[in-house]
Amino acid sequence: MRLSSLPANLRVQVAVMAVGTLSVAALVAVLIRDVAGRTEDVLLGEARAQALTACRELRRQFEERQRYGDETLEALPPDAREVSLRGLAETVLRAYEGMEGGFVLSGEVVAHVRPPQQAAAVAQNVEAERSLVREAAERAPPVGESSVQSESTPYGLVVVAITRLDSGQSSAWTLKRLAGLQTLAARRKLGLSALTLLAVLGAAGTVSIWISLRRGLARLKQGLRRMEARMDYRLPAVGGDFSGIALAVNQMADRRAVLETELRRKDRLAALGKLVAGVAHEIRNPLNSMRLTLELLGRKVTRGSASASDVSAAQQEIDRLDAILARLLHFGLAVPFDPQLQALEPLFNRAVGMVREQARQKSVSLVVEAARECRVHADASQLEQVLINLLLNAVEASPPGGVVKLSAHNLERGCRIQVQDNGTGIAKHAREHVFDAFFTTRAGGSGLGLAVSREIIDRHGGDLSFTSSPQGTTFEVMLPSEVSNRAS
Amino acid sequence: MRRLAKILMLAAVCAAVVSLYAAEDKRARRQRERLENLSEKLSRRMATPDPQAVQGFLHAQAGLLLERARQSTHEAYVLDRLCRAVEELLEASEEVFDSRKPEGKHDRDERRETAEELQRHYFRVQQADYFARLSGLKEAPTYVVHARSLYQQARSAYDAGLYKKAQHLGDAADGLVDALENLAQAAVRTPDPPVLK
Repeated sequence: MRLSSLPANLRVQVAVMAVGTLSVAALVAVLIRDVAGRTEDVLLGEARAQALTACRELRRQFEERQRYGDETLEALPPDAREVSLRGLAETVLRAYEGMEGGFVLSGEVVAHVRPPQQAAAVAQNVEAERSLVREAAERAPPVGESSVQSESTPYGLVVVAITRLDSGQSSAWTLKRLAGLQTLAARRKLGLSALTLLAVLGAAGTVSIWISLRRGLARLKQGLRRMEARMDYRLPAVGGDFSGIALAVNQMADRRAVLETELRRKDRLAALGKLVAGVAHEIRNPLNSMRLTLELLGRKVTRGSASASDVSAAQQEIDRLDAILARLLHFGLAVPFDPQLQALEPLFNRAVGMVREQARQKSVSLVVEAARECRVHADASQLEQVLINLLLNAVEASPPGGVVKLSAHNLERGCRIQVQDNGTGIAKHAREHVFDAFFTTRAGGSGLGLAVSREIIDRHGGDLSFTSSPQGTTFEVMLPSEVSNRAS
Repeated sequence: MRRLAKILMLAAVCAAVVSLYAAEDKRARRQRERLENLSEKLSRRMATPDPQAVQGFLHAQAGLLLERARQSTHEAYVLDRLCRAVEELLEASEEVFDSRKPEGKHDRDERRETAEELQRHYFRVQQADYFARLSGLKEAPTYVVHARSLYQQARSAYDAGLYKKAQHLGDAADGLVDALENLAQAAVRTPDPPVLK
């Protein structure tokens, strides 16, 4: 993934994390280097102090020996002197770990005492060391003073302390090797490099994981949005830990689809039962009426007083039955559904034209406020029928001289249509049954108008609702700009 | 003339030979005198009443070393070191003897001076092991034991305020180490580098 393809806020966060991590790594590196440097300084300082102390002690013991001994060391034969001086140096240097030392008499290194188990490689450099000591002795400070110097040699760092003896011609010296110091420094440098590399790799890994998480989350979010719009949509394969989540969500959606299908089937059966009961009830009334009319007609025929008007009542009931069955057919049959992008204004005009006569008979005014730009995806004939149903109900509910207002408003994701009357409103007990099939408060009403209308709006993926008060009722149709999958 | 020259040359050679012999005789005589003196000194020390155990050891060792010295007259250096060792042992014996004398009055700086001396003796006793190792002497470890013991006694005496006794015992310990040093010098002409412990 290229950095430039990331969102701006993501790029900033990546940059901040990278800078932060690199800063921390650099800080750690500087601190370690500083600590390592200080440690080396401390070790070197300790070695110098130790060498100096040992050297001064050598001089002191030598001078004590000269002062209180039975015979002066210079007077001894060289071999005897070597033994005495070695005894002296060995005893002094025993207290200083890893220290070697001795004396320089007449320009010669004598009584050179070395630490035990000295590395063979170092022991081979004894001559080089002795020449180092001789040079130091030549540069030794005046009697009473001491000097210490550090020399880098092929086998490591060497600290040499020198002090002139009272005679002025001879010196006492000590030497300490710090071979491990350079090795230690090299190891620390290596460790520091490895640590820095690890820090950089860790930072890169963190950023990579973070980007991967962001990508996964973004894909999941996008997929869930699509799933919300289209129920048959399933989340695509997402890499990493999100694949499990995507799989679980898809399985859940599958189970929900199965359950919804089952629920819909049960709802359909329940609705069918209700419909059958309603139909039976609706048909029984005109049948009873027809039976009574026919009984009365039979008696009149027997008496010879039957007239044509007696038959017309039965005919009216038969017409009513026919109308009920026609509406029932329309409600139950799968009507072809062909949604297309429609402008609302012509639909409004046609619907208003269909109810204008009824409105005129009741002296009700029809007012249309249609937004010209309102366009929806809808089946024109079905939406027109919905509008006619709502307008007829409004006209019926309006008092003489009342006003029915039809309006439309553009929304962000669709369109809102309102049919408003200024009647007395719907009774509270009737409000929850308004959309039930065969429920009506009007004499001669079939009770199918609103049920059919709601079915049509549902098919469009919209919503039909109402608000009612004693000052009037407003039915509201919400239609989305695009017809959802529910329509099928 | 030529004959006179020959006679003179012969006379010079004879004189040189005679003087050489005379010098050798003088050195041998001195060695003998030194050995005799030491022998007499040893006899005197051995005659001291009520000797301590350490004195017995010192006298015995002095006798042995004296005998060794008598057999080393052809090696002047070795003889010299052995004689010095004997002298140190006899002086140590004398110090041990003197340490039993009454303490007497102390000078004002006696305490400080004794402390400084003991400090020197301590360092000296620390060297005993090294010299004992180099000496190759069978009894060298006993020298070290006695040197340490004498130093401890000196230290105890110092703690008890017996400064003169402490000085004598400290000198005795020092003498033992001196003897060991001389023996090491006699034994090792080209010593190996020592090993620190």
